[in-house]
Formats: sequence, C-alpha cells, structure tokens
Amino acid sequence: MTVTVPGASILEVRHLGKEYAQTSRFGRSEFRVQAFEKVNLAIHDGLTLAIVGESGAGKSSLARCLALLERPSCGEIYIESKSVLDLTQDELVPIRRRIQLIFQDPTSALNPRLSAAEIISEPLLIQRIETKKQQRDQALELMRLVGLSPDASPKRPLEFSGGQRQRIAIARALALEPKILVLDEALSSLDRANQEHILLLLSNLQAERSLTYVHISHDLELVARIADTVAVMRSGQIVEHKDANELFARPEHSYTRQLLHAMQPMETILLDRSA
Amino acid sequence: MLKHRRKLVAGAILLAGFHVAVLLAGFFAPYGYATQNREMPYMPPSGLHLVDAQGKVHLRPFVYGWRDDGSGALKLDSTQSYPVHFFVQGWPYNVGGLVHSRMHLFGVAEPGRVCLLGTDGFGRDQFSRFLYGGQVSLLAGLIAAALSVSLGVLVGALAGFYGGWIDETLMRCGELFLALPWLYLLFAVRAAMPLQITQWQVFLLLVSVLGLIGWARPARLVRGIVLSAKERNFVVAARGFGASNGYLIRRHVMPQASGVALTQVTLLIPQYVLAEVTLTFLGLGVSEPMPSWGSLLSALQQYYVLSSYWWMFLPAALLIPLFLAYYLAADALQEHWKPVSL
Amino acid sequence: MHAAVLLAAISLLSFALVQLAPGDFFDQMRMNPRVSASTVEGLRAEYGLDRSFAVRYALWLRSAIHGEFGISLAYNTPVGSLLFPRARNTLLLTATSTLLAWLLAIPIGVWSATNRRHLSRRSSELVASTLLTVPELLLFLCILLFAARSGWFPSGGMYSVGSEDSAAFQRLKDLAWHLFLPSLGLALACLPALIRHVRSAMIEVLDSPFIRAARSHGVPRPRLLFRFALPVAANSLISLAGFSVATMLSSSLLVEVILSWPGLGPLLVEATLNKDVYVVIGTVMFSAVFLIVGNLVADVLLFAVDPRIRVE
Repeated sequence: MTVTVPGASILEVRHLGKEYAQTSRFGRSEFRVQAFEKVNLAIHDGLTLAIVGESGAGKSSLARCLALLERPSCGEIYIESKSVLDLTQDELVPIRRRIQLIFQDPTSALNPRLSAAEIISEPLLIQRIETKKQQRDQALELMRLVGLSPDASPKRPLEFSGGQRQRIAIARALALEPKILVLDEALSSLDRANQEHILLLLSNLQAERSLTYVHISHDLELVARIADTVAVMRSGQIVEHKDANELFARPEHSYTRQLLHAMQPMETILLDRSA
Repeated sequence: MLKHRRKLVAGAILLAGFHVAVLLAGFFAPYGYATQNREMPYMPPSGLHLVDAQGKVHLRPFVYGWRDDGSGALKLDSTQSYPVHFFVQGWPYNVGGLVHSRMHLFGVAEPGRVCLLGTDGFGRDQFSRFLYGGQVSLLAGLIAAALSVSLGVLVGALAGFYGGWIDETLMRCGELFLALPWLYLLFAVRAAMPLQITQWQVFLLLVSVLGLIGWARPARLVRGIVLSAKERNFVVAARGFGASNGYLIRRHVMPQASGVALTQVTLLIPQYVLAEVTLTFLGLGVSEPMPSWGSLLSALQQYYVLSSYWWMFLPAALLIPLFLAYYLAADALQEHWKPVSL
Repeated sequence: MHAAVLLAAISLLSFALVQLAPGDFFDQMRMNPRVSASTVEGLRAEYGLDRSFAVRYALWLRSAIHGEFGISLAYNTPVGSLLFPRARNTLLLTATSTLLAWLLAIPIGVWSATNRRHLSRRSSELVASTLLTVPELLLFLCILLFAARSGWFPSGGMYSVGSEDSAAFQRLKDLAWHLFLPSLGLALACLPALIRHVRSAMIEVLDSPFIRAARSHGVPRPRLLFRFALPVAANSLISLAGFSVATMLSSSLLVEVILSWPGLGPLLVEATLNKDVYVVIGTVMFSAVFLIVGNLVADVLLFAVDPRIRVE
C-alpha cells in the first residue's frame, strides 16, 4: 500500500527485501531467514516517518538497509531521487553524507577507547573534510549543539551517562550534515526523562535544519506524538502505511487495530496529537 | 588493579635488570666468553669474602687464590687474597658493534680469578659466559616471538576480517601447524641445514623456523578478537561514514587486538628461549664458540660433571627467575587487557 | 576424515623441508680426500638421492605403505624397522606419563578449586607457578642427578643388562623400575599446566547455578564434587587432554635423551646430527601420528562422555 504524496520524496524505496542465509561449508544454503520483503516507502523532506511493529519484525534490518549499512537482497533505494544500490563503494561515499543511523544502544555504538571529541569528529576524519583543527572545533560545536559541555570532550564514553552517550551518537551523526536520520529504537534504552530531553533536541534540530527522520519503534505512544506518516510492519511486511492522523483515527488492517488496542484510548492519543 | 600493577612492576624490574645485564654483557662480565684458562678447569665459584683468615674485616670484598697442592688438584689458598676492584680496565669488548670499551664493572688483578659461577672444563668463567650466552639465547627468543606474533596477527586479522574461504583456508593451515610436534619439526629443519654454514646463518635459520612454527595460536586468538570487533556497532557506524576496510582494521579492530598480541609475545619468549637452549644443549643449535645458555649446560650430559660439579647447574637455575619475570608480566598484562566491554 | 589429509600434509611438509637443504648425508664423505667423487655419486644413486623431488617423494610414499619408510643411511636398514620398536617405547612412556599426570592433576586441581578462600590455595598456586617456570631441562637433569646419586632408580635404559634371560614377571618389574623416573619427570613437566586447567574448569563449573542448587539441597561435599561437578568439567578437560598430548610429546623427546630412554627422541637427535634424512622424516611422521591419534582418542572419549555431542 503506497502513499502517494505530491512532490518528490527525499527517500524512497521500492520492493525492498533482505534475506539472511547461513551457508554451509560446501555452499549449500542451510538456513534462510526473510528479514523483510516487498517494502515500499516514500518520505518527504522535513517530515517524520515512523515504522512500527513488534520486535523481530525485521525493523532493524530495514533500518540498516536504509542507512546503507547493509545491502538488501532485492529492490531499489532512491536518495534525493538518485538510485544508490547500483553505485560502487567509492561512489557511495559522498552519498553517505546524506543519511545516517542512530543505534539503539549508544554504548556499543561508540568505541570505548576513543574520546568524545575523537568519536564525534571521526566522520569528518574519514571523509577527509577540513583540517584536524577544524574537525576538532566542529566536534566541540556539535557537542554544544546537542547539549553537552565541550569541556567533556576528552572524556571516554564510560564516563558519560546513557542519555549523554546517545547525545554523542547524535552529534556524531550530524557531523556530516545529513538530510535524513534513521533512528533505530534510539530512545528505547533511555529512561523517561532522557527520552523527553532527546525528543526535544531532535524536534529542535528538525525545525532548524529541516531534517527528515525515520523512526523505528515499537513504542506506539511515542510514535503517536512525533510521526507525520506511519508504516506498520508485521513479519517482515508493511501492512499499512499512511498519514499518522489517518492511521490513528481509522486503522484499516486488523494488526494495526490490535496494536492500537493495546495502547491508551483513542481520544487521549488524538488529544496529544492536536497539542 | 593495584595487585596487577604490583605484579607488572615486579616483573618489569626483573626483566629490565636481566636484559640490561645481558645487553651490556661486556661491562658486567669480568672476562670474555672464550677466555680459557686450562690450568683451572671445573673450579667451584669463587666465594666473595669480607673477613680474612686472621679474622680481620675488609670493606672491599676479596677472593682467594688457588694453589697446586702437589697432587695436581687446585686448592683454595687463603694466603693469597685478591681484592675485588670496581670499574676496572680489562678485556676489550663492544656493545652492538658500536661502542668500544675496556671498562668492566668489577675484576681482580692477575693471576687471581673471580669466577662467580665457577668455571667449566676449559677454565672459562661461567658467569661471563652466562651473560654473553644470554645475548644469543635471549635474542633468539625475542626475535622468534616477535616473528610468530607478527605473523599471527597478520593471519588472524585477515582471517577474521575477511572471513569466507580465506578464513577457512588460513584456519586449516593453522590447525596443521598446531598439530605439529614443534620440537620434532625443529629437528627436521635442523637436519636440513648443511653442516658447513656460519653460526649466524644457523642462528637466523633457527630463529626464523621457531618463529614460523608458532603463529597458529596467536592467529587464532587475534581472529577471535577481530571477529567480535568487526560486528561491534561502532565499526558498523564507521562503515556508514564511508570508511574503507583498511581504515576500519587500523583504527578500530587492531587496537583491540594489541593487548592480546603483547601478552602472547610475553608468553612466547620464554618458550622460544627454552627451545633454543634445548637445541643447543643437544648439540643442534648454535655451535662453539658462539656462547648460548644451552652450550653452558651441555657439559652436564657427562656423568662426572653432573654428579661432581654442582655449579654447572647454576645457569639453568638462573633461568627460573627470568621465566618467572616473564610469566608475571604476562599474567599482569592478561588481567589488564581483558577485553574492554561496558 | 581430515586426519588423513593432515597426515599427508605433514609428510609432504617435512619431506619438502628436509629435501630443500643443500647438504646431505654424504657431506662428510665428500670432504674425505680418500673417497673418490664417483664413489660418493654411486652411493647417492644407490640411495636414490640424485633423483628429483617428486620422484623421491613418490618412492618414499610407496615405501611408507609397505611399512618401510625409506632406508636409514646410517644403519643401512629400512627406517621402519628402526622406528617401530622406538615408537612403541615412546608410546609406553607417554601413556604412562599421561596417566600419572592426570592422576595427580585431578585431585590437586579439584582440591585447589574448592579451597579458594584458604591459605592453601595461595600455596598451591605458588607451587604450580614455580613448577611452571622451572625449565624442563633443569628438571630432567635434576632427576638424573638424583638417580645417579641415590641409586634407588636406574639412571637410564629400559631394561637392565642381562634381563633377557629372566622370567617374564621379573622383566616386567625391571621395566617398571626403569620406567618410573622418566614418566615421573615427564608428568611433572606437564603437571602445572594441567593443574591450572583442572582448577579453572572446576571453578567455572562450581559457580554454575545447578551446583549451587544442589548444594542448597544439602548434597554432601564429596558427592557434589565427584558426581555432579566433575562430569561436567570433564567435557572441557577431555578436549584439553588432546592438546596436552602435543606438549607431552615434545617434552618426551628431552626426557628420552637425558634419561636414555630408547624412544623416538634419541633416534631423532642422532639422525639429525647425521643428516639421516629418511629417519628424520619418519620420526616426524610418527610423532605427528601420535598427536593425531591422541586427539582422535580425545574426540572419541568426548563423544562417549558428553551426551550433548551425541545429539548434534
């Protein structure tokens, strides 16, 4: 079920699928898992798409494919109307600046041996943007942006709290000035207070920089507050994909209704949204 | 953490002391390693005394001379005493072929001899030979260990990072090498070497073979680390920034492995030193006149030496603190470098 | 089974290594001005040393299948006839030592694992560490000295001179008397590593939930250790046993030389000094076979002991 919205989309995928196979020593596949298939999505500049579903529905896999961290088995991905899957690794390098991923667990996403400044400036280092000094200054600026004190820049991830580590991860993701951020359950590992802070940060950033977000989440309450469009995933397939208001008001698919049923009553959701 | 610090420091001090003494063997040794004294074969260690036969206390330690008591055997002669002087001029030597000197830490005037570990069948001072022998044996161990671990790190990194058939083939090779009884293989290679080659060539060949045999275990360990490091999210993230494989290996994966690599080197050095000593002991390592700890001990294969001249065991006994130091250091390193996980 | 492939690879490897050498057995003869060059060449041709590598390997393989493994250049007999009795002796020594080592390692390891909080643990750790750092060379030499000085045990050989005439039982006693010190030495050399492994395996098992549950049920200590913990630990210990065979084999070479036990060790040393190539290769092969068989036995034992593996 595709949603057609007038105007070019900044990120579009068609018929995307990913299969994991564990091959035996002699090349015969023993074990095949279809993470997701037949996924069609389109998202427009400056909006937030939320992909919801239970754990294990293939959402993380989809997130990684979108962020070009894994290669899908089939389908096409268009970033700013350019087909990216047929590019070589070298050609992809500039494209990677447009889209970045925030991981669920910030601790594992940061190299424990590096300092915060080194972590944040790493994308600049890899893409060889600016001089070492400028990279460092940029890192400090980004820290300020996400609400961290630049004095903490020489500290290692161990010395920060969970919420702060996620901020570092966000700062790092912003280093290359992407247009699209994919957040793979980025808030799930945080407590309520931290979630609120990060959400505020994210919405400010979106407003300032006209960012596009793809939120992967199993938390419908969260999604209800922030999403413009919602795609519901079940067992690796998108079962419903429409404007958020529409979805919450008039869920079509039975699975969507099941999900919503487990949440708070409709009225409060709609009330939250209109606020 | 504190306990490991102490272990590491103790080990490091012992090691440093040993290695410095061996490196500057010329300085610490009163005699050259080949200086023979046919009149004094198999002499027990010269005791250092502070109180002489008359009961007088001297500040400067001295050794007694030796005198033929008429039956051909030498006896300790307490009428002749030779004071030990420090920083004396003696045999010329060089350090690494660069620094030439005649200065020794201690010595006695001729015809006195100060042999702290006794002498061997040719009257050569065992203490000096121990220090010089250390140059050969320790160097062999160090080079071989460095070689093994370097090779192991290379193979392990390649196998772990690229996976697939590269991994399969490399690990199978590793299994092959682990299955080899290495001492036997060493002999096979030694058998292959012609008898008429220079000692340096023997030394280098031995060291290279030792190094080449032992890569399998470090490789396996490094591979494990690389495998787990490869999947860590921060490596995936770096890939997302457009990092090349080389960068990933260099910046993120290898530092995780460096701890293991260093520990492996520390563990392997004593093993390889022992291998060289064993080989030379059996007459298959470096040969005379190049000294090695093995050649110091090889005389013990003769029964009468074994049962009568106890000081010939001393070089072997001195190996114990050396190995202890290495194992201490390795233990401490292993504790210190447990994989960093949050 | 890839053991066969492994063996073939080892044989090829050792063959290649030895043949790569520029010199050969007849070097000494060549140096002797009284022996003419043609004699040397003739001898070489007789022993097939002038053929190409591939041909020699093929010939050797064929000889191996017949149990001959080439000809010893020094003894002028088939290598096999030299190897088999020696191999048997080494096997005897290694087997006895393994048994002895494990018999000692298990109680000591278990004991040190269970007395973790007592001073006894520190002392046993200390003993194990010291034993670990003593070079085997020194250990074996001390044993030799002990044998020579005390006279309680023979300092070499496998049988006393003139024992061929004694009755079978006497011969057995004689053998055991000669076997004791070498196997003790070998066992002691490998003991510290074994103790360490037994201890860590036991500690790991003792920490697991099901042991704690059994303890809370009031199962008495000895029963807990031997009927519950040990069988589980046996899994990792048996796979270790396979590896310990390798180290024991390398150490056995030294023991055999120093204590004059007529096994593969002294043969190899002599052959290396003489550059008796086929003997060298044969010995290496045999030792590799021991290793592989040792690992196989460990695998079989593991299979028998651990029900989980049978299910896979």
